[in-house]
Amino acid sequence: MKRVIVVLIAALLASAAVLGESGNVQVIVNPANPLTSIDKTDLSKIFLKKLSRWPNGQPTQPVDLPEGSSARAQFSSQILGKAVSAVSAYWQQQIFAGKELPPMTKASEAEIVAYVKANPNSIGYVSTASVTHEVKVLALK
Amino acid sequence: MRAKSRFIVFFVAMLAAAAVYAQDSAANGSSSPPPPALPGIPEERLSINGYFNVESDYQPSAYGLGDHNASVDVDVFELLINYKGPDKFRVSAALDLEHGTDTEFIQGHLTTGWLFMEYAHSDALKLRVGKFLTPFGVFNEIHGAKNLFLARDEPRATLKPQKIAKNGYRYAPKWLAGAEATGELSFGKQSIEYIVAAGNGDQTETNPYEQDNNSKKATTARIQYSPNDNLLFGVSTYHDYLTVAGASNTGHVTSYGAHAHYTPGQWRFLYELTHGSRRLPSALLTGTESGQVAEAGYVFGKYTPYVQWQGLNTSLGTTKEKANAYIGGVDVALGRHFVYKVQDAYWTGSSLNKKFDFPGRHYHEINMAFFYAF
Repeated sequence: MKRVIVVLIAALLASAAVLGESGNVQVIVNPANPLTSIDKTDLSKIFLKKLSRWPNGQPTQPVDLPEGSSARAQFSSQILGKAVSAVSAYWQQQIFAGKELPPMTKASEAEIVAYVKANPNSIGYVSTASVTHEVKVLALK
Repeated sequence: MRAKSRFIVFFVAMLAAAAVYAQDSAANGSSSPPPPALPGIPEERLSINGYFNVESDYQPSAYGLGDHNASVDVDVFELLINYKGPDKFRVSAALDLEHGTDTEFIQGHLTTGWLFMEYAHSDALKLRVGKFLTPFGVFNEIHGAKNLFLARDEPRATLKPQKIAKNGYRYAPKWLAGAEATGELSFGKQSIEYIVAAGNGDQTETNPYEQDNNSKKATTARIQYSPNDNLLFGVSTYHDYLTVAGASNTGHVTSYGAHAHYTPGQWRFLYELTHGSRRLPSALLTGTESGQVAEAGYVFGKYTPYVQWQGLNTSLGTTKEKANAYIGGVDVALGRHFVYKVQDAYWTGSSLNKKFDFPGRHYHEINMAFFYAF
């Protein structure tokens, strides 16, 4: 019995550590963007192309990480509420019915930061370690 | 017997190839990098997607509507090209190269799957002009994208009744040339998507995507409501007047559809009901037809076994035709966008169904496909 409890506690600690890591994804925008925070639902809509304009009327330009990226897995799960594979299936449905196209993908977090820095209407996400002073981090509401 | 053994060898070879691929991809386990941008055009402006499907059918019995020769069909290579301008415009084209298109020998087909331009006024209003897949029901708009549905093929009972009943006809033509308004309104997790369109409709005398010989336009509409990510309800309607030169009476096609899609966890459920009536120009009789499809599947990792039932009833005067299909199969995800499908379909027709005018009025067919999307 004691051994079972020890194993359970260890498992709980391990899962807590994993959850802690998943909190490391930061949402970034260009410093010219007047927003300082963003609602999770709106963020999800932007990345699913259901919300295509910023409050000032400018087009949103979401930029995504590749499907294999761990930051993307965390973002998909926490913000979009779906696994990356489910999001991929959603985009296939959209593309093959002639509807919307998925956000542009950049190969690395450094490229995401560079793109957001260069495009005033863009929005991306990266791990905390990749954030630079050249982009603005949005707080999640 | 010889054909059967040939099919078994072919089937085993296909399975072996799939198994080898699955092992290779598991060993590599790497994700592919995003495609490079084309020179001169920003990456976010131009996108190229598509899919490729190779399939084969085998009907073991002597009688039936299936393929007794286990033919390999290089079904389709579909190329989807989208250009999104810096303004609010988008041009979208789908090119279907079907059955190993070879114009030199007049084999196969090259078709524009759709071809339209879109002006996105807002998320709630997008206007399109051009040629579209008619937005009726679940399957017409996604047509050959086999990774988006469970069974090997789109259901005949609700999409292609003419294949299983002599008096069957399509509830709506595959394409419509005209104008469309579409959009999505979302409230938290809930969303409503609508689409209304008017166009030339179906014609036999002219190119329906060019010259319209009918002063009356076809109209169609669909509304889909999604209360959350796992549930979707939809209703659709299509109406068209049918005319031919010299005919005194105008005919019509009027169709209605309803569908529901439910995906709790690993489960996949779908139900679609269609009903319609049609009177050909100068004809005295009005035909009616009703179709249903119900399916259920469960995702076990790479494997998604499923069952499907289809039912069709047509009526024209005293002739009433029925057809049913009982399908069981499995989809195997060999890669992120690579699917192998295999199923057994048992088809049966009623005594007045002229399409099933062969001994027994029923047959089995094994269907399979290799499908890759990009």
